[in-house]
Amino acid sequence: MIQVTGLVKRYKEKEALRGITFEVGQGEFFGFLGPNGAGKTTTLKILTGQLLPTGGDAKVMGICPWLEMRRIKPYIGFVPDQANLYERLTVQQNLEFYCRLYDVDTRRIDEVLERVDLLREKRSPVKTLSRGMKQRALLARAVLHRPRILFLDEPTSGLDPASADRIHRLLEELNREGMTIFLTSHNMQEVDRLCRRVAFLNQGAIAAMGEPAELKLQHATNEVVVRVETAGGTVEEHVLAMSGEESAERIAQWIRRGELRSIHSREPSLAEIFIKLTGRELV
Amino acid sequence: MERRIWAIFRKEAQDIVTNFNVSFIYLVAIGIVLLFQRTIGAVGDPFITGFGILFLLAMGGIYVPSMLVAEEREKRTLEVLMLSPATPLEIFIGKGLLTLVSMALTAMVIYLLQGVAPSEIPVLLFLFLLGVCACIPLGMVVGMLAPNILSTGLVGMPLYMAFTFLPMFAERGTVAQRLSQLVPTTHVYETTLMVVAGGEPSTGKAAAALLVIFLVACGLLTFAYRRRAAALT
Repeated sequence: MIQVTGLVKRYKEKEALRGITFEVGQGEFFGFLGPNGAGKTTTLKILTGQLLPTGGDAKVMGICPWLEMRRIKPYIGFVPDQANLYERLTVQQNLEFYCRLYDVDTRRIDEVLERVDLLREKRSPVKTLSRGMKQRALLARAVLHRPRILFLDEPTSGLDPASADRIHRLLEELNREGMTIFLTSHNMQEVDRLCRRVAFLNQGAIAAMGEPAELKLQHATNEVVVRVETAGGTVEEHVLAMSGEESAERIAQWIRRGELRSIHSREPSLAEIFIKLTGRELV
Repeated sequence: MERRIWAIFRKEAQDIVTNFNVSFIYLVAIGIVLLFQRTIGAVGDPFITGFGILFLLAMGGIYVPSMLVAEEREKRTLEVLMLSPATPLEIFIGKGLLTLVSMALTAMVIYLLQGVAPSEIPVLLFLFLLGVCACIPLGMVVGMLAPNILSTGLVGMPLYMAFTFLPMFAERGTVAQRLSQLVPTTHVYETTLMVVAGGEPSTGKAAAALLVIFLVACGLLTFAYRRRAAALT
């Protein structure tokens, strides 16, 4: 669905993208991770035809987004990082407007609003909605014309956990129905939960790419975390090497004494992998 | 194309009802006519009709489209609008059409308040609408140059001043007279004064001048849009 080859974007002296290459398959949930200023939004803008690259190539459904923007428009949906609905209009009026632009039957409005749980707010002016509701209304607007690919730019940024979870469940549902989703985020938990594949973007270059589980395995520390309960009743946590006589002997001792409470391998989080690869925090 | 222009027009019409910034301009134009009727003249005074129309054209013709464009940019609604099947031309036409219709309705109120003869209204309205057409692209240029809604007033100030005062000072000297011919408001103002006073103005000449200004304004809008698009990409 998306093929990007050696994409470069320069803004005067700053190189925002330094020849990135990746592919996103049909029905895939792809996460583009990186701190602020890594080039996520630039990539997204190029892929949606809003920005011209300085070099390289990109195809979205076989179409070059910046050369044939008109052809690509019906196939893509876009959720920006900031609510940009017409605040004085109601939710229904906003969606009616986009139905008319995309030549979609206005009966579809109730269908999408029910899905994002905003049917009751249909006649409310957008300015009266909460931030989470606005974000769901943005999602409703983006899927109104049944796009094949949904681009999301930090869709849950600044939302409370409950609202973010609601958005996550909706995205999972859409992806299960076959929609390809391209998500940019700096929220590791979000990407870990949702994405089948992720790419770490750092200073305009892809630092790593793969399935979250695969990346975790690659960067695993070969350590186990052991919790033991001492005679005094306190629980202690020990980190031991996954192999070697010393670890084996200590674990065996705790088992013999009946002190072992839990033991599990220590996998790095995506955030830890990112820091390990780039030396930067995800903010 | 018509469907999308109609969609943009309809959305703007729904929005304008609650947009006090825009409706205020129209109310002020009508308010000025009512105030002048009670203070410096009477119903039917050609100057009051001329000034009311001049004020409406200079302020509304520039300010309303500049606000509509600047607001879309400031609130980032333009971003999603540009990703929709609507083309920039359809967006400009849809927004311009709303300005044209709302300005025509306000001008009609002024003509009726001033007791303009029904037989004179079609020619006055025709020239007024040509004047609005010449102002709209310039207003949109102001909207593109202004970083936010608030600064449309500042960025557009030279135009508001020139479009309001040049027609009024046209007879004060050759330079003023020549400069005044470059602004659309002069042609609408002078024709309105003459028609309401019972004269026979050269409406064909005024229409031709307004048409030329309209074409130049469209050229400026295209240039500004391309510059802006190139800067953004």
